[in-house]
Amino acid sequence: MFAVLGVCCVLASPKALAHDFPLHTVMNSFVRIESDRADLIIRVPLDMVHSVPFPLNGRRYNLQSSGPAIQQALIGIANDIEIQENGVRLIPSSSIGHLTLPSERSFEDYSQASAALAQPMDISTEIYFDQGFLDAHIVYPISSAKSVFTIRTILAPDLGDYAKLTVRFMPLNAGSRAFMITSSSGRVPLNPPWYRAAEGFVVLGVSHILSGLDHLLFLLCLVIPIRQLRVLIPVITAFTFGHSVTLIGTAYDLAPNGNWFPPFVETAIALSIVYMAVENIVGAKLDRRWMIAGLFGLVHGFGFSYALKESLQFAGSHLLVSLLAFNMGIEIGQLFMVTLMMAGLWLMFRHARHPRIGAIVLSAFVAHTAWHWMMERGAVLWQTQWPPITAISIVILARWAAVLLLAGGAAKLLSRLTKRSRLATVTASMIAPPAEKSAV
Amino acid sequence: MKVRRYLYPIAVMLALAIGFGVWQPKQVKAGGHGQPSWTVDPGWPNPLPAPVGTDGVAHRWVTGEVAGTCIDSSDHIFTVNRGWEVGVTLNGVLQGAESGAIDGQDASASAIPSPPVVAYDQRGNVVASFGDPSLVQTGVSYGAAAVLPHGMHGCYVDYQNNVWIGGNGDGIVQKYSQSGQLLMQIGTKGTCDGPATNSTVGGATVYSTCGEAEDFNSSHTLLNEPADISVDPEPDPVTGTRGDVYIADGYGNHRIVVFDSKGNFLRQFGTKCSTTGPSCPDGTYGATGGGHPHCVVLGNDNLVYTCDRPDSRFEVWDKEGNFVRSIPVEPSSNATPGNQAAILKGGTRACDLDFWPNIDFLADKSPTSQRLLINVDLGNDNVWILDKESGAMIGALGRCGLSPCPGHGAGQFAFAHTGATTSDGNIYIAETITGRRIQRFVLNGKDR
Repeated sequence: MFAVLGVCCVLASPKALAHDFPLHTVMNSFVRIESDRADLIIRVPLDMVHSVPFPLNGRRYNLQSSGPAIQQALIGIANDIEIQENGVRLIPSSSIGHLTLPSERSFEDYSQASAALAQPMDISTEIYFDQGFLDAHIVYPISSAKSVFTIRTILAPDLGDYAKLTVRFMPLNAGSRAFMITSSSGRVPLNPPWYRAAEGFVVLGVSHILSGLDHLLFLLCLVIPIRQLRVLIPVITAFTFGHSVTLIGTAYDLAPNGNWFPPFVETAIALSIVYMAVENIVGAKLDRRWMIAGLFGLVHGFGFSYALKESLQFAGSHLLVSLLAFNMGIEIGQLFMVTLMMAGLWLMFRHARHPRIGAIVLSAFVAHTAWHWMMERGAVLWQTQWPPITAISIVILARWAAVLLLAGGAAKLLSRLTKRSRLATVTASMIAPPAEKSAV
Repeated sequence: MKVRRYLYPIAVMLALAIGFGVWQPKQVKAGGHGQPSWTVDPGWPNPLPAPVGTDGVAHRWVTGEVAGTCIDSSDHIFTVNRGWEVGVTLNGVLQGAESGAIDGQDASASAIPSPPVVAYDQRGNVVASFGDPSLVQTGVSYGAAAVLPHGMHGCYVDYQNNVWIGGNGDGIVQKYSQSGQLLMQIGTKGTCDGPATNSTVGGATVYSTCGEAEDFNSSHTLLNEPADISVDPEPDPVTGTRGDVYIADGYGNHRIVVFDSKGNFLRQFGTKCSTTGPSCPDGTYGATGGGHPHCVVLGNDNLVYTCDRPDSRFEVWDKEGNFVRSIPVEPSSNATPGNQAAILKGGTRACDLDFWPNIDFLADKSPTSQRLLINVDLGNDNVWILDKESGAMIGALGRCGLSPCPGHGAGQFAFAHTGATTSDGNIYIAETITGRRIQRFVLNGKDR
């Protein structure tokens, strides 16, 4: 136990920072679940284990006498990578480690890596200091393959997100999934139940909208001239519908690829804010605002998808549930902020003699900020290369055009139906005199 | 009015038909049907570091000529750069803006030369660098105090992740650790396997035995302006030991020379042709024009691929030095007659090669078919895609298609010099003399 504590966080020592050449910051691993055991096979670059005193022979590792150092490193790995089964930390039952060359390619798949580690280490191999890997195979007894497993790494926390651990999770009788986590990812469920996955994504959605200044400014632009919940609801609903379409579409790989697209989306988001703010200033009609909000919602949905992209790997097999949960989180955050904005605007304008002037000034500030964003993002967009017009890009464009046209058509239909029913109500009330009046 | 009524349903149906239904085109391949294609990434690499000097001003690195490029086990792209050779006079000619020195077209007044060795990741960030530019002196003793080879030329990362560098203005090949520690040297700095000549700098004779005026092509310890290196992770067919070093000893000499991992001479193959051109017999390298052989690459077919640059052909040997075959760099039969003529016009077509696909950074370890050759053509300012088996030119990397593609725009080339492929199929091309950059070509789709 004392020995374990002694090397605890051995790979996380500040000395890890001391290496001049942080080239290798990706650690590859496999976690395979069988009926009674979990296998962790991991490859750690040697320049991340400086605090383990591997014996050297000149500039090369002395593999013949490296046994004790390898054992020390294995204990460090078992401490720094924590696998839990149903909330209980797993304790290794056995472990084995090798030092390998940079050109060793067994980690292409689990079976090769496992087979290579089962062989005795070739001590005639010449490995230069810092230029190789420590490969490890750690076995943990488990109670059931159906348990919920989580993984957490604190390997080299000083390197933060630069030290990435790729995990290929291989559950029993199911397809494998890939993750990439860092020490800041916390405890990540490898096979989360749907409600656990959903819970995490709701929180992610809320936090994203609350921290997304550009989305908040867009919402503010929607709220400034309206400030009545009854009128605001269709506008916010249209915005929500729009961003849900693109968010879900992006998760199913329907968004365009290419370096040009993220700056395009970012610029378009800034443009949407400028447009809305200017519309507020010039006093455009608000009865069609829901359509504009829905259109710009499509653009903002792409923006939301970037926040989701890194995290979607944690959805396990519950992609759609996680997407909907993220969307729900966005809505919760959105409703909260809209309520807050309406309250703030009410406080601001309740004694104003000319609230319209107040709205213009506020919108001007928003437009000014968004204009600068638009110019900065546009400059980045200008420097990227636009995609060549290929058959594939035409197909993708056509798909989005179809989605837009159908959404627009549905909205128009909805608008007509609403108008017709309103007209019918008005006509009916004109024909039949109110009962109360006749009674008076 | 009637038109407007039908406009919406027509547009919806058209979009649905194209997007989801009747037309499902496959990706168009620049290299022809069934062949992979690449797109230039104009945003790579990111701006180079700009350290703040003692004067309080940020001095951005400039690479100058990017002579060599090579890939390590993590798909980092190493480059060897000549920007640090400021003010060098080579063969009596002061290297100006067009060759060597960084002052001129590609550097602002505050710029400083980058370290001689710079490594990038695939996202374009500088992840490593080494070599102290201040080691290189200007004036009479130029290079004499330097450790690195003069005329940094080719590089290679071996199976132990060591970085090898050769110089075509010197007589050495050096092996460095990734942190820049010199581990080994083959040859003697400033002394070449050749007769005394009169290379002078500021009146002083330097590197007196280097050059192709009359090569000796024979030393077991000296080299003569080595261009490129490969290291064999497999056991040598004769000695059975790993780590043999294959050197294209080819600017002054005309041979492939093989040393063991300790630097002991094993064997050599290839001789000097009496002339330069198509009449050169198999197993010889062009007499003049520099770069003969200009590259050496080990294939996973256990063969040694070399570049006979002035004769525009690849010469293939087995590891014991038996000649196997010659692959001439010829224009594609698919090219228009005009393009064929244009491609034929330029010489020095076999400047460098790498294999594709090549999922390991070591060509000879890649378990893939290595069905294509990526041929960097300095003379025609393009990079050709050749079928390895037939040698047929089936495509090009430049944006001009099957015709020369000179220029400094994205996807054009100016003195394209060396190239390397990463495990995921992307290609990096380094340009020297007036090009002075490295370009990234990203594999389209996931075709391997």
